[in-house]
Amino acid sequence: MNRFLKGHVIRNIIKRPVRSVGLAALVMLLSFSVFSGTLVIASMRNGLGSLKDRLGADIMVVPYEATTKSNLENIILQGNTGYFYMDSSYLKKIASIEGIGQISAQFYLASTSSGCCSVPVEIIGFDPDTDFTIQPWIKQSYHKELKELDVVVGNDLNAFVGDTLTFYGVDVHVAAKLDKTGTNLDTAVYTNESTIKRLIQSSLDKKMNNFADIDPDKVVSCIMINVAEGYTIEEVLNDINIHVRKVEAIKTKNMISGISRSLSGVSDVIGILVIVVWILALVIMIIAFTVSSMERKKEFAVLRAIGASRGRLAGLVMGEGITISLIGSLVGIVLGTLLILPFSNFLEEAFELPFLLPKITIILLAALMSAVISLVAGSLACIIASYRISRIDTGLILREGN
Amino acid sequence: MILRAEGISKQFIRKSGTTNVFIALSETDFTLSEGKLTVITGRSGSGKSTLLNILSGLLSPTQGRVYLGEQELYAMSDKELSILRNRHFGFIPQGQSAIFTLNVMENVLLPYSLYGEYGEGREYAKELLALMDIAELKDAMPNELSGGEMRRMTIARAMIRKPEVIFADEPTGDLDDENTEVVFSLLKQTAQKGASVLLVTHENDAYEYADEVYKMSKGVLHREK
Amino acid sequence: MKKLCNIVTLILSLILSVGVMTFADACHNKMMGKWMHCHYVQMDVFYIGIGLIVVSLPALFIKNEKIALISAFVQMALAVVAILLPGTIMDMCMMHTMRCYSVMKPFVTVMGILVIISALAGEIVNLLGGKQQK
Repeated sequence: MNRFLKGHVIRNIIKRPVRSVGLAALVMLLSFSVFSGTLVIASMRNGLGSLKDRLGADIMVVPYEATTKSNLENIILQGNTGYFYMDSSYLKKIASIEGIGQISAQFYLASTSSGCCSVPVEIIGFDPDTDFTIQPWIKQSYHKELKELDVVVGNDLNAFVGDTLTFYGVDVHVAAKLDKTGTNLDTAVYTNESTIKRLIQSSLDKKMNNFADIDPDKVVSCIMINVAEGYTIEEVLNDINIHVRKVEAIKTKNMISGISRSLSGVSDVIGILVIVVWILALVIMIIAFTVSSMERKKEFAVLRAIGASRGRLAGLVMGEGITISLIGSLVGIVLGTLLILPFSNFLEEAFELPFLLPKITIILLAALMSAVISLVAGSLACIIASYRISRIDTGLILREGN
Repeated sequence: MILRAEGISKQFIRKSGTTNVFIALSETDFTLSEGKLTVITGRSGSGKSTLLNILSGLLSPTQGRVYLGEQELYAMSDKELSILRNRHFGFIPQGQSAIFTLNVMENVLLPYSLYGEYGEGREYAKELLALMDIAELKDAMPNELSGGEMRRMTIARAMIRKPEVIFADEPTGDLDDENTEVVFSLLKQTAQKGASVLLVTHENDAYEYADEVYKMSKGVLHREK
Repeated sequence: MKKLCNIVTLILSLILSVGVMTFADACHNKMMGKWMHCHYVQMDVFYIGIGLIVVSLPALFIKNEKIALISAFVQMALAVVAILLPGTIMDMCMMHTMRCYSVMKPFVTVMGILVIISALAGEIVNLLGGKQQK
C-alpha cells in the first residue's frame, strides 16, 4: 500500500468513528465467537481426555447402596462427596474371579467443614502396592514415595506443598500438588492406605462419622479393576455381577460415554451458535460496507476525476475494510482471552463437564487461526463494496450535485 | 498537446420509456484549441456533460476515438488512462468536490499525493492559493469554507499539476455573481498561460470570456463563435 | 479522547463495585449464620472500587494535567491491588471451584486489567496530544 492509501485509509477510519467502531465490532464478534467457541470445545475435549486418563480402570466395583444413593456418575466423576464402605473380603472374592488383570482397592472419606470458608473435601486413599490409577498421576508432579501422613492435593485446592492440613484432628503434610485435570478430581486429597485408615479411625473416635460400626481395617470403598488380556470387559463385569452379591460392577467407559454425549451436545450447540453469529455478522457487514461506501460515492467520484484508477479506488475501500477487520479481530481475541481463560473453573461448574484448558501453544494457535479467518471474512465482506465503488459512473455522480 | 475527438457518439440504454436507446451525443468531431477558453452551452440534458466526460476520459464513447496528442485515450488500460488524466488533465466538477477529511492544502495537493508524490508542488500550491485569494485558509478544513472559497480551492487543485487541458463542468452553478466572475476570469487567465480550457456552462456571462463558443442541442454540437 | 477514557474508567469502576456486590459476589449465603472470609475479601474489593470511582471523578471535572496524571497512576495502583486481593493478598475458599475463585477472582482480574488499560490509554493519549499541541 502506498503512502497515500495508508494515510487516506487511516484518516477515513478516524474521521468516521461510529462507522469504524461499528464495523470493527462486527469483526470482533466473528473472531470472539470462533475463538471462544473453539477454546470451550477444545477445553471440554481436553477435560474428557484427562478424565479418561485419570479414571484408568476398566471396571469399578462399589457397594450396591452406592448406586442407589444418588447419581453414581456424580459420586465418582463429579466428586460430590458421598462415601460408602463395603467389607474388605469382597476384594479377595473378586480378585479370584477369572480375567482380572489388575485390582486395587480405594478408600473414601469426606472431611468435615473445618473452620470458615472450607467445605467437606473428599479424601481418597489408595493401596500403594496395587494402585494403578492414582499413582501414575501423582508421578507427573512428585517422584518420591508418599510417607505416612503425607498427602497430595488436587490442583484446585487452596493448599500448597509444605502446608499442614488437619483432618479430624490429625495433621497431614502436603507433599505434592497434582496437575490439573479439569474435573472434580482436582478438589480431592489423595493419600496412601495406612494414612487414610488413621483418618477414618480418628473420625470414628471423634464420633464425626455416620458409619459408627465400621472397622477401618476391614472395609474398602471401591475396587478398581483392569481386565487381563484375552478377556473382554463385559465377561468380567457379568461374572462379578452374577457371582458377587451386594456389590455393583460398573463399566467406566459407560460413565464416560454419558459425559461424551453431553459434550457432543454442548459442542453442537456452540457450533450452531457460532455459525448463526457468523452468517448474521457477515450479512450485516456486507450491507454495512456497501451502504457506507455508497454514501461516499461523491468522494470516490472526485478521486476518480483527479486521476484515481479503478484499482486505486477499490484499494481504498479494501484498505479500510482490512484495517478495520484487523483491529476488530484482534480485539475479539483479547476479549475471548479475558472471558474464557480466567473463568475456566466457572465454566467447568456451569457446564457440569470436565473443562481443562489446552496447552498455551494450542491456545495461541486457536487465537491466530480465529484472527486470520475473521480477517479474511471481513476482507471478503468489503470486496463487493470495493467492486461497486470501482465501477461508479463518475460523470453522473459528479453531476448529481451536493 | 491537442485534444481531439473523431466521430464520437454516445447512446444510453434506457431502462424504461418507449424507445430503448437514447442518443445523448450524435456523431461529433471536435478539437480543443490550445491556449483558448472554449465554452459549451446548452440546456440541461442537451448532452454537453456527456461530451465533456467523454473528452476527459471518464466515459467511453459508443463510437469514435479521442486523442491527446498521438495517444488514443480509450485504447489504454484504466490504469494508464487514470495516470494520463492525473498528469495532463485538470478537472473541476460540478457542485462541491472537496474531500472533507483533508484540509485545504492537502486537497490542493491531492493530485500529487494520489500517486505517492509527497512534497511535490507545495510551493506552487501556495502560489495558486494566493492567486485564488485563499492563501490564509491553507490549514482550514473544507467545512469551514464558503461555497466560493471551496470552488477556488477546487480550481487550484485542478491546476496544481500544470495540466495541458482543464475541464470545468458548471463550475459556477451554485455561486453568486461576484464569485462567478472570479471563477471565469481565473479560467481565462489559465487559458492565456497556454492551457486548453473547456468550460461547460449555461451562464451567459461566460460569453465575454470565451475564445470559442459552442452550443449543444439534443446531442448535436454547433459552433457559435 | 482523554475524556472518553476517563468515562470508560469510571464505568468500569462502577461495574467492578456493583459486580462484586451482586452477580460476581464471593458467596451467596452465610454459612451457619456467619459470613465466610472471602466475603470480607469481596467487601475490600468493593471499597477499592469505590476508591477508583472517587479518584476518577476530579479528572472528569478539573482540566489539569498533573491531576489527570496522578489520578491515572492512583487508578492503576488501586487496580493492581484489586487484582491481587482475592487469593494473593487475602486468603479465600478451600477449593478453586467455589464462587470466590471461579467467579469473583476472574471478574476482578478482568475488570482490573481493563481499568489499567483504560487509565494507561488515557494517559498515552494525553501525552501524545500534549506533544502535538506544542
